[in-house]
Parts: sequence; C-alpha cells; structure tokens
Amino acid sequence: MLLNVIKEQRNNTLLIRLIGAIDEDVQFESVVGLVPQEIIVSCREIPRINSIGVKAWMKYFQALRQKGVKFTFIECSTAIVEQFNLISNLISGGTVESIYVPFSCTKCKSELIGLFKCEDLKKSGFTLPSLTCSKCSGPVVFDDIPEEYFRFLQR
Amino acid sequence: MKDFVLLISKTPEDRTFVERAAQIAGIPVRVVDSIESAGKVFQAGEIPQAVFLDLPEERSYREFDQLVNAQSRQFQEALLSDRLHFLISQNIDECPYLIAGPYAGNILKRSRALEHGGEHYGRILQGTLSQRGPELLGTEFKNRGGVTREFVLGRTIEKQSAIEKVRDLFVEHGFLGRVAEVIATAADELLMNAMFDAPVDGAGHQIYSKVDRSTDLQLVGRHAVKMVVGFDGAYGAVSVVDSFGSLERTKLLKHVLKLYKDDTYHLGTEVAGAGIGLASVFQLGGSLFFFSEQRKKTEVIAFFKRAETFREYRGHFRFLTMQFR
Ligand SMILES: [Zn+2]
Repeated sequence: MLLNVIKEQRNNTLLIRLIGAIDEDVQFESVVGLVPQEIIVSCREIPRINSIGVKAWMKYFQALRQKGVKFTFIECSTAIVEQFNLISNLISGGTVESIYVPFSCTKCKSELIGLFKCEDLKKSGFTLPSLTCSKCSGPVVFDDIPEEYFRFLQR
Repeated sequence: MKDFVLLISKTPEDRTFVERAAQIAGIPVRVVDSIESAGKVFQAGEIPQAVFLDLPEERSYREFDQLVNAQSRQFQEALLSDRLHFLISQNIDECPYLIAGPYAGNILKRSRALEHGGEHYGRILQGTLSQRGPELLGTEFKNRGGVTREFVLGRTIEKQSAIEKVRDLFVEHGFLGRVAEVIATAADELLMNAMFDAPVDGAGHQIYSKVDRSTDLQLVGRHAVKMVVGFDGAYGAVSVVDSFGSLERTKLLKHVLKLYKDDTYHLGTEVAGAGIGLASVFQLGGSLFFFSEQRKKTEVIAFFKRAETFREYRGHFRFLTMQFR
C-alpha cells in the first residue's frame, strides 16, 4: 500500500494527513509538495514504519527544519510513538502535540486507543484517567510499560 | 564432548528454565553455583554441549573470560561462542563488554516469567546443537499442531503484498493488532536483508548494497527468497532464508547490537537503514535466531509471544541466538 497524503488548509497552517505504512516507496517531497512556513502532520493512520521509511522520514523533516519550517506532529499512532522512543532524533526538531495511548479492556479483551495531549500527560505525571471500553463498557487499563511508552516525553 | 548442559547460576528460576529447556533438547543438566565450581568441571576434562551462564555484572564476565583462557586450546575451540548462552536481566546496551568480547553467541534477556519459557527455548537449544540448522518451522512445528504458510517471492516488489498478508494472518490467528504490525515489520526487514544485503559476488562483495530498496529486481536462482510464517498457539514465527550464507558475526553484532550505545539510537540519516530494523524488532519484543552456513544459506527466524495484552507480550523473555557453521 502506497502512502497516501491528504492536505487540508486550516487558517494559515497546512494540515497533512499521512495514511499508510512508511517504507522504501515513500517520496515525501513529491507526495507532500510545497509547504508553507508552518505545518501540522497527522500520524494517526500510520500502522508501521520500516528502517528505510525511518531514513526517509528523517531526511525529509530534517531538511524542512533547515529551511525554517515549523512542524507539529499530532495524533501519533502507537507505531510512531514506538519509533520516537527508539530513535532519539526522529522528531527532527518538530513538536509532538498529541499521541494515541493503548488500552486493553479487562472484560472483553479488546485493544483500544485513546488520544491524549502530551502537555496533559506530562502535567499529570503520566497518570491516566479511569476509562471504560467503548464496546462492552468494561474497565480498561493502560496496555504497555509506562517507562517505555512515555520515554520520549521524559527526555 | 560430554552429553550435558552446564548451568552456572545461583538463581532458582534459571534452574527451572534451563532444566526444562535441556529436557526438551534431551540432554541432562549439571548445575554449579559459581564460575569457580565450573572451573572444576572443566579441569576434569569435561566439555559440555552448552553452557548457560548468569551474568549479573561485568565482573562475572571477566571471571568467566579468565577461566576460558586458562583452558587448553582444544577446549577453547570446542566451546565456541555458539555454545554459550548468557542470561541477563539488564538491557543489552548495559552489557557493552559482552558485545565487545569474543563470546557473544546467545543472549537471553530475562523477564518475570522466565521459568515458563524453558519449553520454547528447549527447541531453540536443539536448533543451536544441530548441524543442519534450526528447522523450527518444519515438521516438528507441525507435529505440535502448528500452522505454517510458505511464501516464495519472484520479485522484490512482491514484498509489500506479502507482508500485508503476514499481518492479516497473525490477526486471524488471534495475535493483537499491534503485535501483528510488529511481526509485519519484522517480515519486512528480514525480506529486505535477504533481497538486498545477502547477495554477494564470488569475491564476497555485496551486489545490491547501494541499490535503492524500491528497485524491482527478479529473484531467480540463487537470489530466490523464501519466507515461512507459522503459529503454534503460544508463539508466532517468521523465517526468511537466502542461499548466500554471507552473514558475518562481526557485522551482525555491529548492526544489531552495537547500536545500543545509548538507551536510544541517535541516527545520522547516512547510517539509518541496515540493522536498525532488526534492532527495533528485538526492542519491540521479538526474539531473533540467526543461522548461517557460510556460502550456503542464512536463515533468520523472528519469534513473537502470543499474549492477551501488549504488556504481557512485552514482559516475555527475549533472546538473540547466533549460530555460524
Ligand atoms: Zn470491552
């Protein structure tokens, strides 16, 4: 599946939604095209990224940074959060505004995700509120290792 | 070589783990609680089939190194790193001495549930003792009620659809979606390594290392790449085989292990690529078994625990096994 890009103009800022796996076929420059001085990148629909995709990502965003473009990552999928944790400079000088946090339902065992603002997570000391399952209303619990999943926010 | 496995550890969980693993492999275990006691076993001229060593700190590693150096050359050659299994609780990046030293063969990272992993590791141990290779996804796997599926790729551009199928298969067989994505990424990295890194010319130089990874190459003859995926209820596995046998221990250590200098990688765009893929598979809970028969074949198998939650999956013990023939 090739990476699909949807662009939406929001006031002075361009919102870029990246959809699909990021791998060797990704040509960020040609699919994204010209960008203004400020962009928001939604990473909600990136299910995975391979090592060649990581390389392309860093090359693209580091070049944007050098051109003085300000970029903010929002709605980062669990796959992107994992890579932010593994590769310290993958954020490439951008800002991470919000991430998806994984949960597991203790009753029906469903895998669920919840969107959180990074600022709020930091302020709460990474304490998550009590939530219920959207499928069976059972109680849900955070489903990862806190010191690993939130590591990039504590650097 | 004597028919026993030697465990050097004071920890009861290590004992439970190794005893079960050795039972599966059909070899008796001898347990000693110190490197000094292991020295007495070695002095009696007894060379074990495999040694499991608890490595709580660098001092133990140095002590073991001294012990090995004090033995005859014949002993040292018999007890190659392929036969050593190090048990660690810390992260691999906290053991630079192990990676830099000459013994890095098989590394097991403990978890709270180590004692339950013995059965699985028993089959890995069997694979390390076999001349022919692991054969973990062969008949033995099916005899345990496992399911396997084979993919033969004719061109490099068939990789993406193959890994999408791998992802879907694991979801169908009850793996968490998030784990299935990690497995798909592992399949992706293993395939890329087999397609682009493994092929070498007669002089041993890589043929495609500089070629763009999106290039459409025909995978015929020696360049054919086979992938087998399987699940046996408790574990899922992805195996990729190439016919070059060009994997080298030093390169593997450099790529997969030496990147662990910090708690995270700080990558320059020029070095990103080779190696980080497999390193991140390990970091994200996968275990890796590398088997290379020089100039004949390399098989790399990634294993993933089936679990109800990602937390349980991540908490499972992991291993890196390297076997060179
Ligand atoms: Zn539920």
